[in-house]
Amino acid sequence: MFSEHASIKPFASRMDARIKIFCMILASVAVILGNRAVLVALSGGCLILWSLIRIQVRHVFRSMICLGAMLGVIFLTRSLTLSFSWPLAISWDAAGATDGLMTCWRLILLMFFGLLWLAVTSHADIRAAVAWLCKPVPGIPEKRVATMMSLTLRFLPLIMDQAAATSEAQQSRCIQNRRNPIYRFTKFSMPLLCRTLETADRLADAMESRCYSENYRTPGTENRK
Amino acid sequence: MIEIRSLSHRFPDGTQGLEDISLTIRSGEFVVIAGCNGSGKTTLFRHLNGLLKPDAGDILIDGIPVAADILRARQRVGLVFQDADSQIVGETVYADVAFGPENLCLSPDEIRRRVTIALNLVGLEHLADQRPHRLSGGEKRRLAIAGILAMESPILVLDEPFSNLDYPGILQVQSCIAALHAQGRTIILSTHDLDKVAGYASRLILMRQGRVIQDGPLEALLQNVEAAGVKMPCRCVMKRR
Amino acid sequence: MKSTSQIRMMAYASLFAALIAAGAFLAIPIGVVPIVLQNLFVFLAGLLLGKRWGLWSVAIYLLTGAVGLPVFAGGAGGIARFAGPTGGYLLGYLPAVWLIGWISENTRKTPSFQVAAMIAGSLVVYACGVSWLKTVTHMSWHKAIVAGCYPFIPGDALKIAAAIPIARALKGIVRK
Ligand SMILES: Nc1ncnc2c1ncn2[C@@H]1O[C@H](COP(=O)(O)OP(=O)(O)O)[C@@H](O)[C@H]1O
Ligand SMILES: [Mg+2]
Repeated sequence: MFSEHASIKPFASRMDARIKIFCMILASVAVILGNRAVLVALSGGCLILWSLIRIQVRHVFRSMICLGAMLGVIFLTRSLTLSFSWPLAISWDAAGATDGLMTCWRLILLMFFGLLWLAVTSHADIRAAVAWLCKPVPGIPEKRVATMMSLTLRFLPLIMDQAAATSEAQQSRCIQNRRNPIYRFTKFSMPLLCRTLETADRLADAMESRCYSENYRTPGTENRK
Repeated sequence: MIEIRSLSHRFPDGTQGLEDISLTIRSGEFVVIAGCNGSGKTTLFRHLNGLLKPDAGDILIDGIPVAADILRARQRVGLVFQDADSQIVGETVYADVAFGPENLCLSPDEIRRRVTIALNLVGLEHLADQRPHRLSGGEKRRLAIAGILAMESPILVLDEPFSNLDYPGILQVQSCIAALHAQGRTIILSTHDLDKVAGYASRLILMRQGRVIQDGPLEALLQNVEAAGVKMPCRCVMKRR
Repeated sequence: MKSTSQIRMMAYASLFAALIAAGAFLAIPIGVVPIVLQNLFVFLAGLLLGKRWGLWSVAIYLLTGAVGLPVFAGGAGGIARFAGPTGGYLLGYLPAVWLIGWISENTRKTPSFQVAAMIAGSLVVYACGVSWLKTVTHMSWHKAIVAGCYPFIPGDALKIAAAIPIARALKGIVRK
């Protein structure tokens, strides 16, 4: 039925991230606290938005596997009771199963709302919206939050590359002959930390030489008014 | 001796890293592998050391497949990576060179002997107690080479050993590699700048898009290297004019 | 001078936020079991950056993940990750890193105090993690502890032992 509609994705992407993050927070609170009726309503809303926005399944897949494992654990531990005394006995608990299903339902909804939010909001907008949320909180400089979030995302691939390079270099010098775990931890972490700390050092210098200061306005939140 | 027989490798994301490579490299050769960035030089080297597994084909080191005994392959083939910094493990120059022999569980005397020899070969013995992070670019590169030499590998594989070095650094590394070759080690190195090896190497292999496109004596091939995206050495350009 | 060290500490704290994120993917095989490095980096953030900036780094990691940016292992997590069975461990890093930083700032910098700080931090992580695990899965306390704490103790002991020499070596590099 919705397939003839033009996708609302462009519209949703242009919407102010602050409104979207506010909706997200509301939806999350409702998902966590709501009773069955609320969950039904939210699921309906989520399905409608989902079909309007059309998210590529490829992106969803990895999250699904991880979520699936979580759901499995929750459902099984709640519905089955395993007694460890001999003979092993497994008993089925119907009330627990219903309970577990509700929790799984909540988690699925949370994840689907999260994926919707990610599909229509760019990383830069997310950072700006978070910074805006932090503004009224005393003692938390919102610009620092935004900067640190983007630095973190910038460092992450760097660390992964560095870790791969370190690991290969050590393998080719036969590190796998060493069984002592403390030695392995130390020898792996030290070069990784030294190298990335140097990068952070250089980055701090570069930021300073370009006159970074926490007192300016946060780019991205103001120019959208 | 290294024998590579119709080696292919495809990365998980679908990139064809290597395609149908067959090569034989005899002991004592000095082989240059040239090609532009992304032509598959590093990928090939990682196979020699068992860091990557071939999708098809196999690699024999002195007649034994790499996969059959990876530890042996890693001792026979010493791989010096392009980025010297990420190879440096130790807190001093000496400790870093000792890292490999320690992993081989050798006796302390043997470790000391190997480290001393390796540091002498690359000319870093006077810096043994320095912190590696203080070294210059050329010294760091030579330290990385020393770390591999201490494994006493008869085959040395160097991935772009001249990148990011200043002129003195290049000269240091050049003479170090030449000396190692003169001692009878097999040298395989990759570069995209033939000027730096033209006087030393005997054989040139040109790679493009994961394939070997030319293989022969260095002097004979110098005229057609530009097809592989490699700059012709200056003296050839001058000769042609 | 003040702003200089502030920017530097901010860069370090962001780096540790990224290291903690990466630590969920990086594993060292010990025997046949791969041991993940995440809490080693939480320990080091507390020891090297102190309570204030250590707290910043964990908080930024959690906040970045909570709003859905890709720092959690296993794809987009967002709030669902905190509500899931392992959410308590993540939230437990906050008080833990603060406690490790506080203890190491207010005692002499000897290995024994650092070990004590990390043990205290780990206890906090397990207190948060196991109680949340119990809430979500309705296991008994005994089972929650057996499943959510005991299997990780040997790995944690090794990481605590490794953190001491690492922190000592890096003290000079992390300029405050
Ligand atoms: N881990 C990887 N995953 C996917 N593709 C890769 C990976 N490593 C290298 N490649 C690709 O393989 C090709 C060859 O790379 P490489 O061997 O590093 O080239 P070179 O060393 O000659 O510059 C490039 O196209 C590169 O993008
Ligand atoms: Mg390369």
